[in-house]
Parts: sequence; C-alpha cells; structure tokens
Amino acid sequence: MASEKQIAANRANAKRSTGPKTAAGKLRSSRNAFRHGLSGPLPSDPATSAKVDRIAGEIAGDQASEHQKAAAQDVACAQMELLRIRSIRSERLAKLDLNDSTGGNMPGLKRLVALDRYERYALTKRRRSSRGLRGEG
Amino acid sequence: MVKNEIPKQLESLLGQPPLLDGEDREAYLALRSALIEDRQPTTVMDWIHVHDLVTQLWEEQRFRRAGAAIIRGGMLAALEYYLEEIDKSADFPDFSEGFKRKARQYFSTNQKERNEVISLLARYGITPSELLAKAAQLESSGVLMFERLVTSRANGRRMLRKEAERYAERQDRDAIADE
Repeated sequence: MASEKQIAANRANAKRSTGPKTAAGKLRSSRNAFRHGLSGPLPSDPATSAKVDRIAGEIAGDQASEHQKAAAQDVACAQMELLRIRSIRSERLAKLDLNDSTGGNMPGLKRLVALDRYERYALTKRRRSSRGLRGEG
Repeated sequence: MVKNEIPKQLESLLGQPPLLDGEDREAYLALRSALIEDRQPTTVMDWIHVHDLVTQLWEEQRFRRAGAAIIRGGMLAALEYYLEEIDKSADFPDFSEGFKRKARQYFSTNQKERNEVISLLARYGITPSELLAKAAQLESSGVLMFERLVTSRANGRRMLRKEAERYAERQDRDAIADE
C-alpha cells in the first residue's frame, strides 16, 4: 500500500507528464501507433490519384460504361494496395537477420506474417471489383 | 535475353520485379517469361493474374530459402547445446577453451579444427543430420512462421488458378453470346 507521501508524489509526477505540449510533439505522438498504414485507404495525394486513374483507364479500356469505369477504379486501388503490401513485405524480410538464433527475429516475423491478412483483403476487394468489369455484381 | 516482356503500358499496374538484394533477376525474368508463355495473357486482368502467379511462386521459393537459412542460423545454438551437455558429462576431459568456443570451431576454415569437433560429436553419437534437426527444433517458431507463409502462397496459387479459370470461362461465354 502506497503511503500518503508516495501518493502525493505520484500525483505531482502525473501532472508533469500529461503528454506532448508542442504542436510538433503532438504531431509526432499522433503517429505513435502507426505501423505501415495498410489498414487505411490509399493516400489521397495527387500522384497516387493520377496513378490510380491511369491504371483504371488501362483496365477499363475506351468502350467502358460508367459502371465499368467505377469498377476499374476499385480494381486499380486494390492493385495499388497489393503492390504496397508486397513492397513492405520485401522490406521487412530484408531487415531480418536469419542468423540470429536469440529469438530477436520473432517480432519481425510476426509482423511479416500479419501482412498476409492485408493481402487477402486486397485480393478479395480486387476480385469483387473485377466482377463489376464484366457487368456482374 | 528473356522474351515475353510485360507490355510497357502495364508496368505501373504490375510494378517492378520485387527482388531483394542478392536475388537472381534473370531467374525471376525467366520464371515470368515461362508463365507468360504458358498462360498467353491478352486482357489486363489476364496480365494481373499472371503477375500474381509469378509473385506467389517467387515468394514461395524465397520463404523456403529463408526457412532453410533460419535453420542454418540455429546450428551454432545446436552445437552449443550438445557441447555443453558433453562438457557437463563426468567422463569427458573439460574443454579448456569453453564449449562456446568449441562450437564456433565447427565453422572454422581450418579443416583440422572442424574435424575435431565433428569427431568429438560423433563419439557421442551426434551426427550432422541430428545437429540440423536440433537446430530446426531450436528455431521451430521461426521455421513454422516461414512454413505458414509458404503454405499461404501455395493456397494463393490455387485460388488464383480457379479465379483465372472462372474469368476465362466467362470470357468464352461472352464470346459465344456475342456471336
């Protein structure tokens, strides 16, 4: 059981550590839980959007209906996500030290295996969207 | 020279070959070329399926190699395990230089030093294959993770094949309907 003095000290210390104060600190801590960004949508920057549009155009072709164009856009997004996941996986595998027999690889290996889940989601999304290209779904 | 390149306009759709440092680019391109030859892709979706298949096969081989590498990485720990046991046994003269150092001798470029460790282990009935098995056991968590990745690629290939077959069937049906 903590003494009165200890409780007071804990309270005083807690007041001193209530998170970042500056805008830069808050910005940094807002990214603390960020791992790979794969659970969110693709970044909506102009370069990515242009790439998705270009890919969607290739997939849909010139004669596509509006419905098919929308489906092609979804296929393109899913394809971009797949490329992103595969690239992250390669990076993670390259970082592993396969000669390390101290168990130091396990966290990295678990993260590597976890990426398969995101790949399955992206593949399912692409498969469903590709049905729309054929006028199904 | 590798034939069956992917069309230029599809390069951004399929991305660059996902190679790691030290991986054989020519082998990757040869695998891709063989699958293009086999599948004869025509539509964009055909190309996507072929590319996925190449990626799955390539990653499957990569994870198999990584699984083997992680076992090799566990060899030192396996040697230390057995040599420590031998060191502890009463009937054996102690290792003046310590069992850890003795274990490292197994990887020595000096054949005499290496043979010394091998014959010492052999006296206790420990063969190189037993060492490998111990290394695999010590690294079993990592080995299982890589096995999981390999299995998921093999399942993924089966799914891709079914998906491609369904897609081809639909195309045939549409072509007949158009006629």
